[in-house]
Amino acid sequence: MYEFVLAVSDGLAMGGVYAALALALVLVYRTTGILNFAQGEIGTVGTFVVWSLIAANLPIWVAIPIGLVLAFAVGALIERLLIRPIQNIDPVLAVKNTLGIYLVCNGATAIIFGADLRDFPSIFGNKSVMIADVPVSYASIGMIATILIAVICLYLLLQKTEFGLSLRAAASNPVSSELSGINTARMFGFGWGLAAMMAALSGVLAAPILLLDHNLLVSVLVYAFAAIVLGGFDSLPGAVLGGFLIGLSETFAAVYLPVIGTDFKILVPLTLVMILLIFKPWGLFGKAEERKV
Amino acid sequence: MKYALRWAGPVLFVALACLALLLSPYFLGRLSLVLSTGITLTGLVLVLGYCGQINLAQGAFFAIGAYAFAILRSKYGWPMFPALGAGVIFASLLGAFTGLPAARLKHFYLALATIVVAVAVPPILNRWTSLTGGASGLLIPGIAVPSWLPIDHPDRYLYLVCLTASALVALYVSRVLKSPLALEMTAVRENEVAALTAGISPTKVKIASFITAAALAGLGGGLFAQQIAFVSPESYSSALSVMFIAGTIVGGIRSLPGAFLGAAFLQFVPDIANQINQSLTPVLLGLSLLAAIRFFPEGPIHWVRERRTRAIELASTKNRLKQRDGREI
Repeated sequence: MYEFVLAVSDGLAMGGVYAALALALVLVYRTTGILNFAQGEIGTVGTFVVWSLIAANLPIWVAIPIGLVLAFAVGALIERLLIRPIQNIDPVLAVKNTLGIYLVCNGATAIIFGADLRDFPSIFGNKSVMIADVPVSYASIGMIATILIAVICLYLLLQKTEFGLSLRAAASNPVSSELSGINTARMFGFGWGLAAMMAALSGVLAAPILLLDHNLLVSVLVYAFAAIVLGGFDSLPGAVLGGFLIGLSETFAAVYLPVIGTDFKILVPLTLVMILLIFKPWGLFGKAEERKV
Repeated sequence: MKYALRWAGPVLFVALACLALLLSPYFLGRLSLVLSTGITLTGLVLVLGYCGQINLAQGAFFAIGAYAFAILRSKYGWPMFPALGAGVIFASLLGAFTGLPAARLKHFYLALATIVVAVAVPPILNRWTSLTGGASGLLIPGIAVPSWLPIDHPDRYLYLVCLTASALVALYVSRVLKSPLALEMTAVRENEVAALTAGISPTKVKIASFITAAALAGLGGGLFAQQIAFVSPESYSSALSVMFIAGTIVGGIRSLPGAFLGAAFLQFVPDIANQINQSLTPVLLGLSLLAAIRFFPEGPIHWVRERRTRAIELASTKNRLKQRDGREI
């Protein structure tokens, strides 16, 4: 029982980290139709910004919002400078571009901040609360709550506001929405900015657990990819659920199958996803894609 | 012109072969690494450039080729050439294994399947200690120079082997690029649904290009491992695949000579970068990739060629106008 509750709380907490990055990937995919391999690195850059602000003696509650806003700006800027100019020529080219952004961000953060691991404070402190006689940390509960709040905010923004309607319209049919007066270019930039913000949030949540270095979100990105495959590429709730499922399967495998160990545990969710793909090619929530020629 | 082009390949081959006698064994070793990486990148030219499929597992195929080669050489005492062949076969099998479940899906799913393979291979190499030697790696025995060759150093001989392999690969890939398969790959890249209606099976084309790419990576991996004479999991991390893609794009994504250019880039840029900072290599690679995509998406060789053609056309137009009007413009 002890192990079980701990595995559930840890799994959901890590799942929240994966879900945040998965949400970022889905936002980018929905707005610009590409897979962003640099998403994790953009989040890592945001996390380093927050770390620098904390190192400059700012309280963490101030540093995180500033970091998220800056991450938004970075994401929108990357879309404007590096994605938009080639997006119309060839989306696959834009995907390759994100690999370049990945390399630059990863190397640059290593050069600027050094390659050593560093501690990162948790927003939620390090106390814990007893649930069924098991100490569950505030951090785990806080992470799960943060992700759920973020998802609800995103949902309200996209589904209940006129702005969200424009964003969705621009993503699903750029030409028609341009004709009905929506500034699609700004919408795409906004989508990328939001995604960068979610990625930075994922980094800030992951850093106290995984310790901060330039590779902080590299493996998280792999899990996030697995999560969006589970959830279907374009579904926001699917990405969140996928993230939590991946987190749970990972920690359960680590707790109950000790053979797996730290180096192999990344393979458990990936194997599950590959098996799922064979039977449900479009994910748990995705729709089979139709495309006009 | 056509006549000259036909002989360009063999002349280049002989010229490069002569280098085996002129350069130092150390530098020839570096060139062998360039050539074996180049063979791997030609695979990416096919699958990424022509078929338009993001393949992040090329590094894993390369690793499997290298490890199959190393295990057969060091544990079972196989000679070099059969071990190379076995490396190609094992890598192609992994390629088929990667392509089969995901190829029927839209291309991003295939890309994700390749990530799974790229992430899975390094820890397996690390864990399967009885076979792979684990983290401490495997030493590969050196090769003997055949007595009929007037060469003193095994690195010179290995360079000739790599050169011959590259020439054969170049010949093979240029044949593939003239075959209907190349057209089918282009069709799949441009529009899968349209390709399907034209009677092309995207699944088959994708799997074919995947297996070919994997086989080439297997060959490159074996030659690379022989030159280094050592394999260990840390030299085959999952970051290798990203490096390979970057090299292919920088050299020219649909260019056969570009693959070797990109390989040289991958081999020599770290020399310069490491003098300043070890992490400068990915930054330089990433920046070159971004610049290449923005300014010469078909690669530097194509870019220069296009410039030259344009210059020639401009000159001939000027010439014609001059003859017609009797004055300079």
